[in-house]
Amino acid sequence: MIDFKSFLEIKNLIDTNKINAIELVNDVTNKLETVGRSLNAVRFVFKEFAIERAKKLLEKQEQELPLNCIPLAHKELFQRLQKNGIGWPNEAGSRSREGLKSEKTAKVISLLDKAGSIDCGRLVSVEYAFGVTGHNNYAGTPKNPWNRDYVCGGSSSGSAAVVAAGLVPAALGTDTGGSVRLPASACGLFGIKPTQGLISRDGVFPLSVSLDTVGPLARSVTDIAKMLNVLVAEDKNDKSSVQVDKQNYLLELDIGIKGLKIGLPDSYFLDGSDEGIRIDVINTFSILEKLGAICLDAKIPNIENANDLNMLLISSEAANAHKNLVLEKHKLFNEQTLMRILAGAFTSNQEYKMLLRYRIQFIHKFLYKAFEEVDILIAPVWPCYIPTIKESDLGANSDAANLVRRIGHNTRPINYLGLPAISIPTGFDPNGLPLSVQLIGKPFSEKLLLRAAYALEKQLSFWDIRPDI
Amino acid sequence: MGKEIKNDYRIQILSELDKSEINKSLIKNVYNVSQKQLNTLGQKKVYLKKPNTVNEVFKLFLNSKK
Repeated sequence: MIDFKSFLEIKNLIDTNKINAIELVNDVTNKLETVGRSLNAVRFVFKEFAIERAKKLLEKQEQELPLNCIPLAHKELFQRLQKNGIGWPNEAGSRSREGLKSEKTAKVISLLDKAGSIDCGRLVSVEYAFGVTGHNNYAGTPKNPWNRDYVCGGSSSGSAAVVAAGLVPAALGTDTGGSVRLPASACGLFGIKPTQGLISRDGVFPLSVSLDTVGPLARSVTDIAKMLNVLVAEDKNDKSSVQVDKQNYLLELDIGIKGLKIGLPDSYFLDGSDEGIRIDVINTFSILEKLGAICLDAKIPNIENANDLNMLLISSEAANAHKNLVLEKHKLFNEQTLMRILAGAFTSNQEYKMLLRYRIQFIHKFLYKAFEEVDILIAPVWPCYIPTIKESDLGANSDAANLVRRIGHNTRPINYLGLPAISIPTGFDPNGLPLSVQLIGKPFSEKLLLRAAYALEKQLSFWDIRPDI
Repeated sequence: MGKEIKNDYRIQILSELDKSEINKSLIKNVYNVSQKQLNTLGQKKVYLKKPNTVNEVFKLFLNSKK
């Protein structure tokens, strides 16, 4: 019924009475229960809640709301406490949290409610959002809609799978080391990791208090922009939250990229990526030039260590945030997750302070050098073609370790730098899985990134290419 | 494991893990990974005393570009 439709297409169906909100919710929740579950992407569907919500929206007739009656579902890290006191499950994809319930409603969920969207359920996350492939032996490993033998990428794997399958037009994910961009890329979607502090994390299960960000995944740049219009708001309950001038991310989306300076970093990203990936990035760079951008080689400082330091910061903060559960229930953790968290247990307080201090210096140096002559950087997202579920399963295949270690190579440094980045589908690899690039911007330059992404979207025109569900 | 662990809960975690059924070589492995990352950090020199937060760095940078 709404399969693969954009926000605007759904709104038009509703406004012209071709479908009403209750029919819509019935259809979406049924498909989440069937198609979504067959992809291992769905944790919880709240049909009754969603239908009640649809009824209320129908009564109110608030067609001017930006996301009026748009059905959504989100990564299972986003808490919701219903008005009647019922908390939605808050398991973060882990057996160690089985049965735990939400104690509040995440700020971003409240903002989406206020904008008129209908929350239909929660989608599979990698355990504690700490993993890049999407494997989860408790909640299920989501299958890539383009080919079910392949991973969706992680950790927002369920979000990517259901949006790519056309079941909902957008979903929220979180990105601490690439967890929005990697799954968005693997599933042929747009996914944005915003500037640190732009979108509230209040009420979102924490992995790393310094690095966690919230971002939407969608099939079009316009829908990403519509989500940002709702999600960007200062929040006193999130210490990292910053006040920014209210922007309309839809404005000037289509004015083109003539004169925009885009740089291809002279080190790190392409060096660490496979040949097919490098070719795709260079081809996309050429397309941007044909679209009017000024394409330059960009000299960037050495960021070789950003990957390691990002991992150390995540582990140290995850160990600190979840120490009690790690202590009490370590037997219930997946071994890989437990090990990743434990890597941070050896960091002393002094080392932690040094880690934060050094990060600030690192960002300072990077910004002034990398963006001296360019507005945007282009880089790959995945350093390799998307792997199969089997070949990247660390639990079953010890050879997978090297592969898995590489996957965050191009994404983690951007979290360490706190910068915004958007992943953009660019084509397909020889296995028929999506290829992608990421555009990385200066702090709070999301609007510019969306403009460049939109130009590429229109040029590459993937909207009508869909996985066979 | 040859390293001073200052925080109580960390000692607790290690002692719990020692008692657990988790493969000890995996714990050793993760310790080694952590040491590698901490060594990377240890080699760094912090010379920039201000700004104090990531957002302050952003503001400073953006103001300099105006």
